[in-house]
Amino acid sequence: MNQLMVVNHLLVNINSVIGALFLLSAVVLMTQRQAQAVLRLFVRQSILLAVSAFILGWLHHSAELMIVGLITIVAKAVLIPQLLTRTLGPDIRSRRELDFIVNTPVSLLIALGMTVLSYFFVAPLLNGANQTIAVNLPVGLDVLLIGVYTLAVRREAVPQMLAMMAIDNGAFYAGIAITTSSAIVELAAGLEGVMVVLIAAILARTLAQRVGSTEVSELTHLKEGERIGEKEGESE
Amino acid sequence: MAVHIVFNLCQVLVVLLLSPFFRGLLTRIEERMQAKRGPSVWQPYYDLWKLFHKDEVVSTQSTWIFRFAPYIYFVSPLLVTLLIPVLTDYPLFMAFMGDMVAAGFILSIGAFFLSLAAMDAGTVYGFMGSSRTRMVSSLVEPIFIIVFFSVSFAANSTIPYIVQAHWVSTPAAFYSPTHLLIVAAFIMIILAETGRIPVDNPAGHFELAMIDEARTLEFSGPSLALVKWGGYTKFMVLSIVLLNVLVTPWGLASHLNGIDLCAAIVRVGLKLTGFVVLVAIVETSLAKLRLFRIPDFLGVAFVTAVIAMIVQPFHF
Repeated sequence: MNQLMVVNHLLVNINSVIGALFLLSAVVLMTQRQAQAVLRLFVRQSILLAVSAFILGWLHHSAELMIVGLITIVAKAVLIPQLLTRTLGPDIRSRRELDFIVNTPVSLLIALGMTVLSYFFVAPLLNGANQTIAVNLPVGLDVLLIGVYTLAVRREAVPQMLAMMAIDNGAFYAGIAITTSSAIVELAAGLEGVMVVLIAAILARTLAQRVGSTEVSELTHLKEGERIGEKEGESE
Repeated sequence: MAVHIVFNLCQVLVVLLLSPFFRGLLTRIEERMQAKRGPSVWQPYYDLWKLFHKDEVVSTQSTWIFRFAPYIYFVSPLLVTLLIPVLTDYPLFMAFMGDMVAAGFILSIGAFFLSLAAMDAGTVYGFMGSSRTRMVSSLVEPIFIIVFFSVSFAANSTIPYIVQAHWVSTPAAFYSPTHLLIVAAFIMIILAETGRIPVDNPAGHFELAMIDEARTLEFSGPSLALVKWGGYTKFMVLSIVLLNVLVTPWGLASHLNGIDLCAAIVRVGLKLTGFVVLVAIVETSLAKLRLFRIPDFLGVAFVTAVIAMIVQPFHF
């Protein structure tokens, strides 16, 4: 019995450390320029989420949380990266964003502000909460906010897509601490995520074939032909 | 009391004599990882020996700063050694003379004088190196301060010995997210401050790309040896602060006798070897950042440190 308590205590501590790494991964994901690096970070983040789900499942004796962890690993750490690497050509995967809409130091400060905000909002809820909730809830909310921000400032299609999945990760990271019955939701979200990534990846590939770039911010004109016509009209 | 003073001096001696070895080890491991043979582990010792037996050339245009800077740069990490737990987990004679902030100040005095000396000789590369190191250190400084804040929040002190004892005595604090984030930020600071790869390439011989090395171009003979040796000890001192105070605060001598001290030297040596392997992995797997990307890298370190501070009140 005593041994079990020691193990549980250790697991709670490991969960805290994973929380820190999870938050760090979201911040670094925001600053990475290479689509490939963003993908790698996303996979690691998903694995961290899964490990946290396993730990919480063990602590709350909940098989559903274990299933959540499994679904996360299968969908986000295996299927989504596979799909992306298969559907997108190597040239899109290795693309780099040279400039973000907002430069990196400012983005980092904004991420900092969001961390303060999420802790500020969550603080009243944490009175008397146990340590796993005190880690997962604010960190999950923060990763969600940082994901939304990343989605907003990215210009390339692939990192945007992954930022969207990171939002999902953040929401689930908070979710697994509050409720133990989210397996159905995670199953649905996991499948949906896979489908969304598949569709978006095909769209991105078509985009790259037609326009020659996946830079979303350049898509300001409706048709290539019209734009050329417009320019000719101006010159006359 | 006398034993405490002797042990305190032992710490300095250990850092002084072992630091070139760990630099040699780092170079060797790195070269091995990159499938090259690499120089001997003892190469830094040969270099120092050779340089100490060479003549020195000093520009007639330079001032006293140029002559004294190597000594200050060489001594400053050794002064810090007196303040930190290198081998023992009980405070020694000088332990309460200064805290981590004082250690940071002492290290930056050395770096400051080296920058001055590099400009003193009047070469273009010296100016460039000085301004670049200033840029990096001005970005590192706030991170240092924030790390100290977080540490003092967690341990209620900035005296390294007390912080070390705090992590040992409260495992819950040791496993808190704050602790991990502080460690992550501190590793990034060490890489930046000692000119390792994501920030600076220590093996580079191209003057235009140099950051840290460019300051030493004008030095020769014994002065160069002192500057090099100062660099080795600085790296070792910072790694020891990281290892003995933050990451693995165990394995230090807890009794006041020589045998325990020797055992502690071995254990600290093993820890340092582990850290050197980690640095070698980081340096082999990352590319040097462009100069204007360095603020991004240090920005991540800064945010990591600040998040560590924000997270602190919620976990205890």
